[in-house]
Amino acid sequence: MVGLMVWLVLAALTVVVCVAVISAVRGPMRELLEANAYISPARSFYLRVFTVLVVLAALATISDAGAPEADKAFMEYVWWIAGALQRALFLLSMWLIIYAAILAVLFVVLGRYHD
Amino acid sequence: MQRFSLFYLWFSAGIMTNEQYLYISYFGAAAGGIVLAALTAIILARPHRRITEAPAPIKLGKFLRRAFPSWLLLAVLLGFISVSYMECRTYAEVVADRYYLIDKTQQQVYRMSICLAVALMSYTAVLILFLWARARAQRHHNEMQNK
Repeated sequence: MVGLMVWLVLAALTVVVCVAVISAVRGPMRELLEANAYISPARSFYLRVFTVLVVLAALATISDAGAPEADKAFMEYVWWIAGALQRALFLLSMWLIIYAAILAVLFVVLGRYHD
Repeated sequence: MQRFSLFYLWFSAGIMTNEQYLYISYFGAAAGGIVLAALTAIILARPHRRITEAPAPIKLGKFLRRAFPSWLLLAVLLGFISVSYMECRTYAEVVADRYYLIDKTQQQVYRMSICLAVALMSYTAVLILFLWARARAQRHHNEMQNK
């Protein structure tokens, strides 16, 4: 049961990190996507895609980490969680920078137009 | 490190043999991936329609509406089949090791998630071209009306 508990802690931490990333980025992203009438129809699509991407990063992390064995020291569990969380942070940082690049291109292409 | 998963907790109590577990986990993962792609397509269907239902370019919008779910489904299936069970092992060796089977199922879920995410990101990049074409068509239409 200890392994299962540690796995649940990892899942909870992954969800917390994902929610923090979404709540930090969503507001400015919404403002960016309301820049003009040519970009604004795409606003909800791009916002939802970003949310789905973060959820997929969480799913990939949680699914790939099987629960650890039961007979370990406390710090071994901490390191196991840190190792598994590393993958979530890597995926989230990659998604974020690629998505930022995509939105930058969108803004370069369509942001110059005025309503 | 020996892996120990929730799936193992559910299936390890002598309920099924390794071969039965292989059948269920393999086809279950495939079905789960298809459901994941379908859910993503459903969640994004309405905002996607809002973008692609522009009066111009209408044919490209119709094509994108058809292509989008297929694109997601193909990406998930690509992730699923990219995991190989027979890596220098015979079928008997594959079936003999329950941990190996669990590990492969987890890899399949991981790769399906990653492939779906990459497919979504590349689609958003393609959609920029559509939005650009749509903006050009709108501006052309506005200029014609002003004349």
